[in-house]
Amino acid sequence: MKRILAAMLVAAALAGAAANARAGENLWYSVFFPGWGQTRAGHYGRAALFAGGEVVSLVAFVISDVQYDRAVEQYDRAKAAYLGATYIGDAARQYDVMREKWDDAESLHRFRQAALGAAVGVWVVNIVDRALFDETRVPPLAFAPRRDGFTVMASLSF
Amino acid sequence: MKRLIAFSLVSAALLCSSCGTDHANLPTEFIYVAPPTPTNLAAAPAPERCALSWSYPAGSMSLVREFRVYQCYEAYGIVQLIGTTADTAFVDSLLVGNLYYCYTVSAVDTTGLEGWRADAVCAFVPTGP
Repeated sequence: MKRILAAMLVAAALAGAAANARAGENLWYSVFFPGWGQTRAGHYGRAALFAGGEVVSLVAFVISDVQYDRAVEQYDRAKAAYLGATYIGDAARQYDVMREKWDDAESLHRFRQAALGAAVGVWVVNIVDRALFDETRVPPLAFAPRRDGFTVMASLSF
Repeated sequence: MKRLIAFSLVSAALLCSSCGTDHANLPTEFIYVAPPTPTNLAAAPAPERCALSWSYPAGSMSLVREFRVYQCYEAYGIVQLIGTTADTAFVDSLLVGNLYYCYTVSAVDTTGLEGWRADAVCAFVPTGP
């Protein structure tokens, strides 16, 4: 029994020391990508939250950016057609098209800005989380004594 | 670690570089002022020809470079320019008789802008003697 207790204490001490040594380093991993540092520190729930939020925000940003570029192209074409019109009927029609495409571009631009803001926000909160709550969670160890020795089980917590 | 930080900074710079607006210059006002539309368009058919006449405000005649006369096929939404004139009358000749012809006319101002076309008028052109 004494050996088991000693092994538990040694394992906990080693895990804690390793975690403290990596604590500052984890911040930089979180700077690189939200959730990475949290993952390394054992905070899997927060890591999933930050990484998921960042991925969703960036995907929304990329998609809206592509759509925005298309809308701007269509707007430029409609604007050129409007400014080059020689018949008032064509000018009126192209003016309506141009306004419609401008509205599309404007709404996509706002959505894109919101997605970018969300990505930056998640990134900043993730860094603040890592900087302020720098403790590293040591996965709890469980020891199950057996007749011929003992089994060590590490459980993940979220 | 330095590479990670450098990569983060480059990614952030790339993101920021693509968040500007490219659609800011919208001409908010409708800048075109069309010349008045010809009115009272009338067609006077004769064998294998059709004489057209219309009214136009006398005060605006000085701003008009020409009138454009179109033959239109309303069923197909097609208009075809058949001639221009500086007067308020036009004669379409050498027509194939025994057919209906529809016409419309518009004014073009001195800047080259063509105004709204008048309501189309149709006439039955008989065959020649």
